[in-house]
Amino acid sequence: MGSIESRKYATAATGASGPGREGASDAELGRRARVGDREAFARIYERHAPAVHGVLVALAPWRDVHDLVQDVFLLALRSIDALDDPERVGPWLLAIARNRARDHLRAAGATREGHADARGLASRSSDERESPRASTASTDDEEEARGVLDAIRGLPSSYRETLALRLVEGLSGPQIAERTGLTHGSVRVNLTRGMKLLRERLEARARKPAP
Amino acid sequence: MSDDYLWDRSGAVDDEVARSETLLARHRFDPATSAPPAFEAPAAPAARRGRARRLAIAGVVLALAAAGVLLVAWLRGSDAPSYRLHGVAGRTRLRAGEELTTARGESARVEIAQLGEVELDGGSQLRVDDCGERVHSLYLARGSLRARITARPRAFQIDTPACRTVDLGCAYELTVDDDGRTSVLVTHGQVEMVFGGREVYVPAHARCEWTRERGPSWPMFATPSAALRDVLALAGPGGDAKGAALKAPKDFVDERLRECTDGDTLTLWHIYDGEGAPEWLRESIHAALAREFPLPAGVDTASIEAGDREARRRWRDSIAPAWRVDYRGD
Repeated sequence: MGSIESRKYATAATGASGPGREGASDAELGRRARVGDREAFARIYERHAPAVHGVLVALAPWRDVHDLVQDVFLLALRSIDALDDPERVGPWLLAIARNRARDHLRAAGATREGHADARGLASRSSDERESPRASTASTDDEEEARGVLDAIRGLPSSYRETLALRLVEGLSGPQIAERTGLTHGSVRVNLTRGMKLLRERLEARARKPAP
Repeated sequence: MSDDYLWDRSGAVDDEVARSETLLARHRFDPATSAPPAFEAPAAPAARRGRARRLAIAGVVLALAAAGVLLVAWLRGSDAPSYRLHGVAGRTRLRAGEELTTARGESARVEIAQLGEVELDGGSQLRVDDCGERVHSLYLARGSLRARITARPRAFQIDTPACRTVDLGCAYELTVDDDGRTSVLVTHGQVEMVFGGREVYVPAHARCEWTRERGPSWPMFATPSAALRDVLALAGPGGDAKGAALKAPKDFVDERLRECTDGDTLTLWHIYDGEGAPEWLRESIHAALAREFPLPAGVDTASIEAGDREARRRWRDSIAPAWRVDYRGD
């Protein structure tokens, strides 16, 4: 028999929301929120807002992401009693985020999901919401960041969300698995293949002659 | 280059990944600038103090009334859901939130409504989390128990420090050691062990262990074939190096996979569905499983490869009958 006991196991995510962990589990918070515990819902927000933000960064115009995050949690608060499985509050929130992004793009008259922001990214209109940190970054770095983000948004959906969660929000693979409900194996495949594709597209973009 | 850094920032730093992280961190969610929606009731301003005082008085009155109701309910005997308890002096019921600790040499039996029962061994600590309000849920902090449940799938579950064991209609032994390592041996039916996005299916006569630090072992029957043992050697630590040392590793694996039994496919499925095994090995296992067990209607290869949980579960459930008929037992 193989050396199962000594094989490399993935380290469980820190701050994860399972039984026995420090802090209430997602299931416990979800159950409490479902019966009106606003404090529990606030803890859900703290724990899952980064992942919701990451998914929206992958799908929606950057200038709208902040407001869409708020929309998602307000929608979730209104429909929390429809949450069948409290343990899956994370994947449930991400499903709301994807739907909200789609509705937003549809309303904005976008023709290609995830690419309407290409215009938004390039635009520097006065009402565009900028990350406070972006304003202190060099112009070259900001341009490069936008190029990477644009390339991520052009990837197939399963890759772009996972990469946004990893590279933008800084979540580890195990944390992404927990927040999305995907298996560790799937997240790892999405990250590896997504990063490979991202590298190819960035290299191709770098080789393109400037207009 | 290994993808460990991309996965969890372990191993050698991948410069491109690190560069992307640095550039994109400026677009990260910032709680300091992203106040949450008003989930909590705002504090009453000074101008509303009078109304707040009247509300506080009304609140006290309501609280006293509620206490009276609770007192009457207690005097009459509570109707709160609870489980019947046997073998513990001075206690006949176990309610949600209550704990039960058995001394060494003692044992206790908990009737789980009309669903079945749990036998708790000596030296164990058990807590009831939910008596069926949403789901029948226990927490085994340490020790061991045997559960025999005849409920519909997922109506009963037991949490441990390492994971959650979800009953799918079965009987099983569950053990938690002092380090929180959880071991399950299913004697009848099947259970699911879940935690942190990871899901392991354990049918009758198979065993699986789970620790918080390392996650789940691959579930396995007691008698894996020689072919499966060869595949495991390539899936475990050092598997990449062992594969590289072979003349034609993929051909070797494909040949071994053809020799694997139906019972071996339980372990193969979890190698494919889990993480840690080399990608080329997972692809070979996927192809071998797909040859023997075609995807069910409505499930496509793309959703399986993308890790869609429902798609993977449906495929697994279509393979599961093979895990019930092939095992010969000891």
